[in-house]
Amino acid sequence: MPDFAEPLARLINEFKRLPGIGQKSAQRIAFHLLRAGREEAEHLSQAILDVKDKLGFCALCNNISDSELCQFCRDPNRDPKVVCVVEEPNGIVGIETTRQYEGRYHVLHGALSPLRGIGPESLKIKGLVERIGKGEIEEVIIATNPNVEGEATAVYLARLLKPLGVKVSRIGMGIPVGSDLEFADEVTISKAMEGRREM
Amino acid sequence: MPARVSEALVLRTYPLKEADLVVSFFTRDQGKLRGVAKRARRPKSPFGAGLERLSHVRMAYFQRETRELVNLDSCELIHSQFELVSDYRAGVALDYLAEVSEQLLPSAEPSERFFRLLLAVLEHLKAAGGQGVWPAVTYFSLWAVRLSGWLPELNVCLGCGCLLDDVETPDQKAQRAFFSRGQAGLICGHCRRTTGGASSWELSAESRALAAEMLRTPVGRLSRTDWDQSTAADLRRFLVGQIESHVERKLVTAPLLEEK
Repeated sequence: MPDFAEPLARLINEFKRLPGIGQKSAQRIAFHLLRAGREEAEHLSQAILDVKDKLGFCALCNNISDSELCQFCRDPNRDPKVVCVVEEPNGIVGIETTRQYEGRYHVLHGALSPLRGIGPESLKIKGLVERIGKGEIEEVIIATNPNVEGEATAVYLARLLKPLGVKVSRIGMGIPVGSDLEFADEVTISKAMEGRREM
Repeated sequence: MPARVSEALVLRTYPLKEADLVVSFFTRDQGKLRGVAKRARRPKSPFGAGLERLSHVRMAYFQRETRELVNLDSCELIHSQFELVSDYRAGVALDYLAEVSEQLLPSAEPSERFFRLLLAVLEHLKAAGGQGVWPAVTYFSLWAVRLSGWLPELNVCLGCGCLLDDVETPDQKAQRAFFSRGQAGLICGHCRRTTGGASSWELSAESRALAAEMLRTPVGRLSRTDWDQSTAADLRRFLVGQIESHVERKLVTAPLLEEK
């Protein structure tokens, strides 16, 4: 690495710690900020501080929010009878891009992973059970990731929630759109066959 | 830059950058290796479900002598453990097997016997489902400790050398045996009293008999069939203690496995 002046080297090092940013990208961003005006740098630093200072979690669904309730829990047009359970707040972003889901959410902040020391008590499951206990929810859609941790979490939740009298469903798993059956492995194909639908 | 294809079991993955994974995998011919699987977290990844924990795969990779991490090219799934996660306890058991293997296996040292142990235990778990968790975990722990060379004599007192089960006189009542954290073997009741072993636990004669059977019988052919969580729980505690004292760290999956 070339010898940069100390403040610039420090900035590059800080950027390198961010996900998806390597040495070259960190240098590019740092030099861009060096060339930019002071105002632009202040906007960026203030935005970062605001994220840390002004954001918290929704009291109902644990999504990221700048007020007590998040935008989805506040929205009266959202169906309160359907709740989609996701692992992390960024899972909501993926579902919202479809513009087809009009229910509400619940964020678990993780998935069951004994290898990482994450058991059921580490997840935000209690709040979901309480929401169901109030009798407003009729269906829970489990949209945890399609991997071992996500599937274990889904199975655990289904066993916990079904006796409470709600419909529990799991998002479909299988062949990604635009790919080829020839390259899919046995687990993916068997999940796709399990989740097939009548046409 | 030699290209290899090895039969392997995936032990653990760690996220790297935006969509990559660092994969720890145990190959039959090269031992435990670590590699980078590029774009493995994308939906159209060439790895599919092959990088899930304890997947039995044929892994294709490039290995450079000067680099610790190999480059993973693709993997062909031989057996997946995905269906086992429908039972929470079986899922935790899989994580336990992966964690113990990850901790005990040295890098790049092939161990055919450990590989066969993992395959046998996985096969038993698959065949028996949730019912097979306790014999599988106990059998695996016992053999993992034995293959690592740390299994003490289970019928000899570490303190005075007396026989805890006198095989010559089977009618004689077996002596009580005790173990404690950090102790490399079992001690008799007399040694326990003289050394003031207040924080020690008993390893029952029944569990010692089970251990002896496990050392000469495959997991699927054990005589006892009515296993539950309390069966050989003291033996598992002893074995986990042995593993933890040798790897010098706590196993995160062990307490989750034994949770009621």
